[in-house]
Amino acid sequence: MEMQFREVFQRWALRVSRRRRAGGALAGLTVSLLVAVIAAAGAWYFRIDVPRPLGVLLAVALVAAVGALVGTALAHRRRWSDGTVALYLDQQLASDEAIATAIDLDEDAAARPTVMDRAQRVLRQGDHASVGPRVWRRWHAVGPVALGITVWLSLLPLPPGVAPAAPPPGVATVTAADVDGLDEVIAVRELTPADEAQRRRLDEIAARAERLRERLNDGLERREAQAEIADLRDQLQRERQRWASGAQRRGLEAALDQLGDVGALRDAQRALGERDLGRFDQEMERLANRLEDEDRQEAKKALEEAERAAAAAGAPDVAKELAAQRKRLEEQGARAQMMRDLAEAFGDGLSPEAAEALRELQRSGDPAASQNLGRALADALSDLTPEQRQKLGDRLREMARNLDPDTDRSEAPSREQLEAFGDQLDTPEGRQQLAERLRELAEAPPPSPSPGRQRQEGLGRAERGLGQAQRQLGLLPGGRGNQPGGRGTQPGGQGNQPGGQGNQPGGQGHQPGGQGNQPGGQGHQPGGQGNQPGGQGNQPGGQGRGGGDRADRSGFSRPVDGDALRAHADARMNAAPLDPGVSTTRGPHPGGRETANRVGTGALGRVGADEVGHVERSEVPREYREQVSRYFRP
Amino acid sequence: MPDDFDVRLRQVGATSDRLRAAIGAVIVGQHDVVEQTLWAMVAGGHVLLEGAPGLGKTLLVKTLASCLDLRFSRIQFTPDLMPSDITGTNVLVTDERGSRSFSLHKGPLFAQVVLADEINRATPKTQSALLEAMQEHACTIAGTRHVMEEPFFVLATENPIEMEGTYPLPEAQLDRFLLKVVVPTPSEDDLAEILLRTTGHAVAAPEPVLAGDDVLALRSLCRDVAVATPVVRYASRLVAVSDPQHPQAPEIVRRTLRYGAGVRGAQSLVLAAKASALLEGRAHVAFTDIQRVAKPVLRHRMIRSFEGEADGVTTDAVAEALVAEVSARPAEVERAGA
Repeated sequence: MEMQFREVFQRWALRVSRRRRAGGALAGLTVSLLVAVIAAAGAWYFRIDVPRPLGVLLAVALVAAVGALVGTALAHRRRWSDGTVALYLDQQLASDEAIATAIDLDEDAAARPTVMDRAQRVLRQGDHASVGPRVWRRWHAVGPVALGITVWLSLLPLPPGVAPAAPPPGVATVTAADVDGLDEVIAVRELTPADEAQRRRLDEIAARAERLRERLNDGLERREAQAEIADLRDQLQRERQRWASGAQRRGLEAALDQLGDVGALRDAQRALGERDLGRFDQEMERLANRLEDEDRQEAKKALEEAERAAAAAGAPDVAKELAAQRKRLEEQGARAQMMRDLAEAFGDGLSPEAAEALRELQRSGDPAASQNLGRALADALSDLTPEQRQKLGDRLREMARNLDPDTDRSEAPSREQLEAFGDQLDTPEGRQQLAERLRELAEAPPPSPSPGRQRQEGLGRAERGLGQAQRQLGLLPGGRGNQPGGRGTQPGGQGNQPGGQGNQPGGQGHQPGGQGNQPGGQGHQPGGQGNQPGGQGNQPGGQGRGGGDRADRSGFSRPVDGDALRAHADARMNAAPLDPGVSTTRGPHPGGRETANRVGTGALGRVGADEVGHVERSEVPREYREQVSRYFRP
Repeated sequence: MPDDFDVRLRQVGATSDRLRAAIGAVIVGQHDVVEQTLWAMVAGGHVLLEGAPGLGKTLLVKTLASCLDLRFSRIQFTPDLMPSDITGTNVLVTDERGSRSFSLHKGPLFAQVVLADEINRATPKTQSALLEAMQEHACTIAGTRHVMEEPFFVLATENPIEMEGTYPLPEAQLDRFLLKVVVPTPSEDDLAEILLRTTGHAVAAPEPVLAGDDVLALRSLCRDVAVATPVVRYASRLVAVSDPQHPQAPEIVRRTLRYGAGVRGAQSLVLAAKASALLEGRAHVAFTDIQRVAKPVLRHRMIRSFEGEADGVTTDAVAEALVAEVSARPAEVERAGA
């Protein structure tokens, strides 16, 4: 009986054990699937690069298999003893612990046969299908759900990556390829300095430009490049303004006073007052071409007096420049006079083209008009009648007789040449020689500019080069098409470009208005006209006429609606040193607007407008005060 | 082929049925009381019957004694009852030759079924006279130990209502009773039946069903009933956690009890459970047997604390809580079966 009971019981125990292992495996599978779905969700969320969907599914399958194995192993490790199985079966079969008693009973117990018989009967009558530890539990339903979610996650596209934070403005690296204009700065080393001190300064500027280019070759943060270029440009500006400053100022003012006495020299005086030697030189060239001999002598005399006054007032640079211009006036004037005299010598044989060129030369003194005149005269030679040729020959000989032998006429024909031309005019060879000589005169280059002008122009080229570099780096509007204040195709074009540097040769204020259709400046503000003192750097470029309208180029600004004006001076300030009272540049605002990045520190003070000498006593910048003083001079 | 134990088990079943029927012919209702009394008889223990007057306690005992072919005696406990009134005493007797000697005059205790009626009305001294007889089935009188005739079976009654002039039984004596059976008030139907039976002519006492040897055989068979280790451990766990100092004692035990059941309580639990199983025709004890006998076995063995008395928590409630809170099977089996 006992054997039979044991046999039956072992069958039941095996079944219970199997079901418990199955339950453990299912529990392990469920837990592992839960872990897998969490891991898959994490991988999806954090965009972990796993081959999808196959890689994810294989990983989940692996995790599930491991989980099932672990669950089975744990169930086996925690397997029930026979006594526990018997208690479970007693509970399930409602046998009042007959099986547990039969398992536990001593062999010599009197009740053993009876108990075993009872237990055996219970076991035999028990329903195998309905008795046994539960394999499937309600929470196991999490497994299929987790599996479904995992499959869905494996098919779901990865979420878009988090965009990296925008770098702070200005940290982008720029290279030498992004910056032009440094060659012009380096070239200032080739300029002829006024003295040894300027030699050193120019060398230092060139060396700084070279170092900057080397750093740019290695890559440099945009903001560092901007700061360095702005500093370099400031240094160039100071160098350009250094001429006739300081101790030589009084000499300059004394020379200006002398020049101001001659009306023809008024524009030249203004250019000299602005220390714009390039424009001063141009004015003097025009004067040389335009002035008649008497006026030229008067101007020459004024230049001599101004030269002496400057020298007496301790301004050798100014005196030197005036002497050079006086000599230029003499040479260029003699040549221009020769052209005018030759034209007049043609008499009625003067062609309409030559007559027009003569009028233009007399009106404007433009060197181009002189060239046109020479070519027109050469062309007119072949059309002269014999009578006209006769008259021309006579006048040439007369001119030769009237020539002052002491006058340096540069490339102008000498007395002997004029006489020879007059004598041989009847022959084709003679006319040919005269025509060639006239063409040579027309094509002859103008006298070389003064060293001061060359220096100023070199510094100006360098500064324009840096301006170009600043535009390329986005520091100045107009540099890049996608920068605020671009080339007119962008809103807010060049109209609000500062009006240029009034003391730059030719000024920069003639920038044409852009074609942008945004109100707020289309560059119609002339800004500094080149001949305007001091520039208008901190002035906005005027008001646009509204959407789509083309800017007014007349220099007129409509009244500004003060209530609508808003300041945008919240940009980061450039670290470069400040020029007192002058805002020279403008830069991009991080928000796409435009704002000044330099702030003047000068103040007008508390001087009453009706006080005597209020202009001199006010705390305005020195240069501006001088300009105002001259402007209001009677 | 049925073995000897199996045959005897079946005989017990038949005998117990006849016994129940005989008692039921006199006692109306009170099936639990009768059953519990039979447990004690089979297990060889004594019974303390507690109930209001007139619920049939004395009648039950007398009926049981009639059903058993045993010598029956009744002791009416009164405050002036002396121990010698129970146990008996040596009296001076003169024989025919004129010589005098002491002769033992046995008291009512020397019977096989003793009814100690209203036991709490006697003084503790008198009550203590029962201790030796109940525990050792022997009585020492004047230095001479007298063994009781087996089977020896004490059934005491007490009235829980009239506390005036009573002497609550000391714990040591209470512990000697296998069961404390509470006799409930009969239901309306049972009361009607009682009225019908008792207001007519007197009914003859039932015929004896069991002889003394039969009772002894029953008790022997009861001892042979098998108990599995988990069942024994369950019984011991129940008793252990009835101690308020036990770390796993339920909260009600900690709060309302001063002392829990002791070793004798655990023994009584298993013995009573064996008797219960035997009377149900089983050769082994089940958890349900333990749970069934827990209340009558433990209720008089747990001493309530002041807080428990103040809260009116009865030991029956504590026993029920123990059965409810102490798990019979291992937790994993309970979970697997849930």
